Amino acid sequence: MSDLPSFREYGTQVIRQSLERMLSHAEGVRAADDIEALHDMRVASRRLRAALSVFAAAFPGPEFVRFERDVKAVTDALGEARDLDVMIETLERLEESIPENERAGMHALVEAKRKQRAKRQKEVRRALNEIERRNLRERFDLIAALAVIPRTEAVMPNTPHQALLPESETA
Amino acid sequence: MAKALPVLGVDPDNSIHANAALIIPVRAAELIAWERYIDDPARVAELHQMRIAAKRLRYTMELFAPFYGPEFAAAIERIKTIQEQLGQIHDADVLVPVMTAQLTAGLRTAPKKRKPDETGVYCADFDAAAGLLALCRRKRDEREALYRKFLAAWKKMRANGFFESLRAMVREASKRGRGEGERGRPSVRRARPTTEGRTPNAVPGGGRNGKSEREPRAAAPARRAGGDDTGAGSDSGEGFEEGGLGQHSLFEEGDAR
Repeated sequence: MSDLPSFREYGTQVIRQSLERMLSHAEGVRAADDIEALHDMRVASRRLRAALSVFAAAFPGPEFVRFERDVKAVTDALGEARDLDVMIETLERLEESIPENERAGMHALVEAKRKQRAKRQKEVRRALNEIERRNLRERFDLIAALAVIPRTEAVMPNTPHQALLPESETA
Repeated sequence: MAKALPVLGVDPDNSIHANAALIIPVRAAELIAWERYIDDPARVAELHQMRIAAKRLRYTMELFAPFYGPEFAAAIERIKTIQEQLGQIHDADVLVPVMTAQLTAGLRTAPKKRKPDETGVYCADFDAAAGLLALCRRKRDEREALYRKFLAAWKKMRANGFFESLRAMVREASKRGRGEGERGRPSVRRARPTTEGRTPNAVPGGGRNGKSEREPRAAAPARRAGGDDTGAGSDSGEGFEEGGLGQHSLFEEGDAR
């Protein structure tokens, strides 16, 4: 029994794990040669958000809210690309299933969706760069460290979080 | 997308089981809140929202799975099935309008936009249109079958008291301090010593000793969380006190496919 972690300890552990899993797919998403990488990264971001929502009470403070928002941005940035990936795959499969002389309409549709998806990749790459810039790992380490200090001590005039945020947000 | 509701009463110094007993019922109520729409297969947006709520409940439960037993794992599988059925329904609901747009665009080509040879009986590619139309109809039929399957699976879960049992399971585990059927240690290790400086009084050993004084506090917000936060689900007959432990084995019953 006594080997069970506390709620906060477990939350810290799970959030770190989910964050690592999410970030581990970034290179595959950038390469874009396998649609599963993007799917996996998006699913990992959703799982991470579920964990953040569950353990929010263990990490009071505005930096946690900002962190949550940045993770949601990952899910959102990959959403449209994922929807297109799924659609292209399904359309291709369906196209194969009808008589050859009836495929022209489906074929045009697949081509149009492929073009949309290729265009989207630029946005995906931009989102990945943004994620890197936001130092999610380091920021969560700090959140976790501050969470175990009694709250009155944790309030500082200039929180060290600022140093880890992109300049545009520290104004 | 509907946002996840906040859960009142979660105390980071309380045990994992005590907090799970507050959080899981709220996520379950968020899923149940969409139940009122499911008898109408044309409620496309609501079925999609229900899928999102199912996914949220599933991921939340999976976070706690290491601290519960096989009944809990079986419950996750049931939620996953529902979520996947709703996912397939949604995919069809997205796909058919896209194919329909392509179909109508192919038939409605304005005379000016036609190529020189697209004239007279050749004004449109009817074969291409036939292909698209056939697929639209096929997808609609598949969707209707999927919907019926989903509805049957959901109604069966409800008839079996799935959510009542789930709530009873997490409530009982919260009282006992661990999940039923859990054998040995959970597959999670304690966090590194850095977080231990504070010796949280919520480490389960402490939770057991301090049980009598902690419990009322944990139980009261549970009802508040259910009442305040889940207004949408409250009229679907969801009481937090229903159900009994004896129903746990119902998770194993029946097939959802």
